[in-house]
Amino acid sequence: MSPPTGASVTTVGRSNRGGGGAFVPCDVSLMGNVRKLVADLPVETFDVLAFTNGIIPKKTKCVTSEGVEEDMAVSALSRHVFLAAAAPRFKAGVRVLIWGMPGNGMVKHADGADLNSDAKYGGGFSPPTHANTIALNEALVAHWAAKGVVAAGFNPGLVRTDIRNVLHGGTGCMAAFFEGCIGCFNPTAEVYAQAVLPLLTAPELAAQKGLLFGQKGTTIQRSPELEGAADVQRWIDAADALAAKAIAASGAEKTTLRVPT
Amino acid sequence: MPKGPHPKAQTKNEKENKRTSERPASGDKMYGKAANIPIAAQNPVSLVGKSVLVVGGTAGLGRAIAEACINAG
Repeated sequence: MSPPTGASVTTVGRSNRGGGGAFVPCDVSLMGNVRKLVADLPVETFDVLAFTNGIIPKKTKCVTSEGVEEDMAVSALSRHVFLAAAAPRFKAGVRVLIWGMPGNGMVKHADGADLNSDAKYGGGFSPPTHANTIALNEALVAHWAAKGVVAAGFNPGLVRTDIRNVLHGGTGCMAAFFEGCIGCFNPTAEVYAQAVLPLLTAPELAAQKGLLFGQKGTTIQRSPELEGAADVQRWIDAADALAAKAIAASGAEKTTLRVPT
Repeated sequence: MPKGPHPKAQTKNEKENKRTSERPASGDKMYGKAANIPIAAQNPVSLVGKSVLVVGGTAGLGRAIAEACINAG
């Protein structure tokens, strides 16, 4: 990597894979860990909070030691818990950028009454499991935008990464072939990152909070199922309830997750 | 008569939004339906002095975004 010339970046992940910036280790699949992470981070110093953590559900359901379905825990609930805990310490004008798959039509297959996929589980992109994470992420954008935070959602579409390896049994030939095909017709992660980079400082995001962006950094529409404030609140309430159960199971101190309005 | 942009003039962003909105339904499912809200900032930016947290920034898309921020001088 070339010498840093731009932002001061802190990355959070399970293991340091040699990228630039400061690294903070954290397994965000556990809500107790996320609460501790927020307590330890200098939240009030960040101008941008970018949530790119995410997985795709395995063929058979996996739950964390806190009892949360793994995809929901990593791809959505961890973000909810982080933001709820961090909000009182937000720097003025902070930008909350949430990566997921908003506006892709899957929200209609989501089930907010079964956020943890206890009644029905779908591996890969089969509903409702991953659709639930898509819906909660889009709801988070709308929820924090309504509170006056400069929040925005991003749908990168197909970008060549290893996130889909779970669909092809790991890192074998099938995964390499599939990702190679994706790479032929879609941008690399690096090209996509350059396309959305201007949005990190674009004034339009502050003027019109809650915007969603597609693969090329152009605006896309919100899912019709999440256009109403009540629709959004139902997802936030469901996330509050699931997060409270997870934190109780983690043994962490029980406190309200809801940020006072 | 006041001079202004030609009525047929389109910004790069407007053209992109138009192209996206004309995608077939199958394309909409992956990328979302265009909202046609123009975003002017399409030029390289400087993030010098900014502090950025990337959760999930050690691999894949997150790593690419983290590195882009680091190098956005």
